[in-house]
Amino acid sequence: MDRPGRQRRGRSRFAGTGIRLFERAFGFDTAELGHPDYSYKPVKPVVANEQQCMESVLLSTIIPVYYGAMPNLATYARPDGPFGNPSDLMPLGRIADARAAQLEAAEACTRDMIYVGKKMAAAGADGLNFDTTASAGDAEFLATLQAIEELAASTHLSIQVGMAAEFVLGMHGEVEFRGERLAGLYPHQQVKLVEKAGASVFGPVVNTNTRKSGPWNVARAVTFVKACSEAASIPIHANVGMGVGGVPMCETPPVDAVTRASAAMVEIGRVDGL
Amino acid sequence: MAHVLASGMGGIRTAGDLVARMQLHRKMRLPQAKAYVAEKLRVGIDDLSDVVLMRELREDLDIGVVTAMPGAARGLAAKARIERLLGIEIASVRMLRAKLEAEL
Repeated sequence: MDRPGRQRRGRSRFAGTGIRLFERAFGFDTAELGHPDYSYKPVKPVVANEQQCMESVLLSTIIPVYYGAMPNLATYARPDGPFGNPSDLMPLGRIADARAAQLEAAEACTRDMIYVGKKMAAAGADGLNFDTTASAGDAEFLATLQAIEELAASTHLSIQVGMAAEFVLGMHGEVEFRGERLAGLYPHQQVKLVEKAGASVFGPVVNTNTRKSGPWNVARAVTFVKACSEAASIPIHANVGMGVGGVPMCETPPVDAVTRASAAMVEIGRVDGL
Repeated sequence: MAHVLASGMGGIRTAGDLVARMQLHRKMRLPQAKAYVAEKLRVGIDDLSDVVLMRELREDLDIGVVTAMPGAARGLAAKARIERLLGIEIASVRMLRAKLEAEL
């Protein structure tokens, strides 16, 4: 059967050796370098080491190589970070304080993502991946969109945005980007804002409902992704993995479930990659 | 791994890396990227996934193959040739050129 091709990325957290293996032995189309502590905040103090690794990988590989990490706004809240924790403040009814804390943390998160992004651009990386964007809700989505705007305007990087969930949680509720409220957006709406910010690739996410069957989840996932693909003008690389994109939520999903979801995303979802 | 085998384009085994670069560099959707690469390689779109044809073509164009052939371009050398082939700029190659052209 003639199957249309799509892009597949292999991620190596074990520096260049894994990426070279993925390129040569497994035929991956692109690769991603990432730190074991896969968030922008912990990467910032060790970014020079990451740059060295990226430069070394780029010398000997042919496929495009991204640098990836998660915005992970939760790491900026106490006890892990310096800002107030909205999960503690909201149950106390301190809504205004929770909102203020999220915006302060978002500002710091944006600064860190821009810092790491520019360092990776200086190292010659082909692209930057913001993984699990909006995991902490609309404030994190805003932080990421603002970082994308700056990096798209000032670097050569191809910027990919992978989401965390199928809709943006309104942890703040009133955050806007270019006049559009971020809370409650679904993939076909998220992609339009990501395009406006200047990203090159969008990765929609549809969360798996673990109380339903594999076919049920795949059908639901491709429905959202198909609508996203129709709305998009940039490439769509759907997130299909543990608990997303119709794949079961377990550490080693059954291969037949994964490949069914994978094929359905291309044939029905009309994605440009995974 | 399952994704690669079920739905991957094959990377440097075929033309997956080239199609990927057009998506990344020019924000092309998949059909557009495949058409662009096919035109540059002077092959049909279906040929992009033909491992035999693409192996021979990649050897002839010297843009990198999966096996370690003595004298074959790899790494930055292959990417420099891919730059010329596709009419794009690859950052790591640009940085090498800057190093080479800088005064001693």
